[in-house]
Amino acid sequence: MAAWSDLTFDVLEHIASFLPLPDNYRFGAVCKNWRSISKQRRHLPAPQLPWLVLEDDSLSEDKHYSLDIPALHGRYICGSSHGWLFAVDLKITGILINLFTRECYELPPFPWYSNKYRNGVPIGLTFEFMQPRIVWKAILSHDPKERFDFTAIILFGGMHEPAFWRLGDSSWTVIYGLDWLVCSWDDILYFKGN
Amino acid sequence: MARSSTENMITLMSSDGEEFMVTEKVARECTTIRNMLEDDCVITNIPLPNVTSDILSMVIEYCMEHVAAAEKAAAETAEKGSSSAPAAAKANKDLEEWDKAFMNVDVYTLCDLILAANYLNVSGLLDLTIQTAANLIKGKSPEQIRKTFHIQNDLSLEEEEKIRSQTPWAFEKSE
Repeated sequence: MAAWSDLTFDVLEHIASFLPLPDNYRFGAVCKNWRSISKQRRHLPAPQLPWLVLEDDSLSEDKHYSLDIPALHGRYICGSSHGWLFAVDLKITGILINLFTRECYELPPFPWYSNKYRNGVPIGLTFEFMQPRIVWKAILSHDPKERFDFTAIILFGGMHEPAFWRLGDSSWTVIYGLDWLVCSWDDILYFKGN
Repeated sequence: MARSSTENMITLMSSDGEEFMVTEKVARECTTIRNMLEDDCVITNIPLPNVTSDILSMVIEYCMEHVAAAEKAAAETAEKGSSSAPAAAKANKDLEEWDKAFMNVDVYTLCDLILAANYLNVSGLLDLTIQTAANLIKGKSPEQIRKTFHIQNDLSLEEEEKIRSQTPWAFEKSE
């Protein structure tokens, strides 16, 4: 008769892949062998209802969890996609972080638009309190855990200009082509590879 | 189950030496056996040293039920030209109910079934047993999980404390 604690790695991983996030953590606190699966975290948690990210306990719901993610201290969350969060701090450096695995990509500095002036003042954000809001919206083409050739797309600056970044790129590539002064983007979405 | 006389029979032998005669179609539900048959088509006797007779008989029962359900659906489609959606939905539901009743086993049997389904590569049975195990884990505290599966806690107090402190929110409500 086999013992549950001695199940092979692939079987235990299979079980863990059927568990939603909180159960996955508790699964890892059962015994040493099960712990080793949850520590490796090669799998993603089972699909579940989307989680809402709140900055404090402002929602009275019967089930919510408080997470302390040191990497997010002092950062604004400006987008989420495929279980990853985009976060930007006051120095306008951005990160892409997976809440479950805590994997993290540092994003290159956001495109600065010193080449664009209106009445002698750079178009963009002149007030410090607005700086974290430099990124209006951010999305991912794919889950970075599944494919390394993912693309991150942001709408940034006062005019919500689109720019993209691929893993390995040293900077963002701004998409030009429309007259930004008369047109600003409000939303973006990724559709079947476009 | 109707069987044509020309159908090949395969003998499966459990670790404790018991022999089970099954049709080739049923045996082929196990990908591991299907691969053996494809490599050597004259093989008629397959020893399975990793599976005991009580577990093997359950695996065969599962495979027979699912082969019979698929055959019935195919026969209905052939008879009427196309399968009627309500009938197919009912057949699916019946099979789901059968699976559910089939999973009414103790955790030791469930564990052995997972290992057998994994070894014999019966994907439907593997998904069913793994899902059943996951359902038994869901919503339980680590202590409740240990009790359910008869697992000895071999983590030291320090290790447990460390695990909890990393994601305290996951351990709040369950305790």
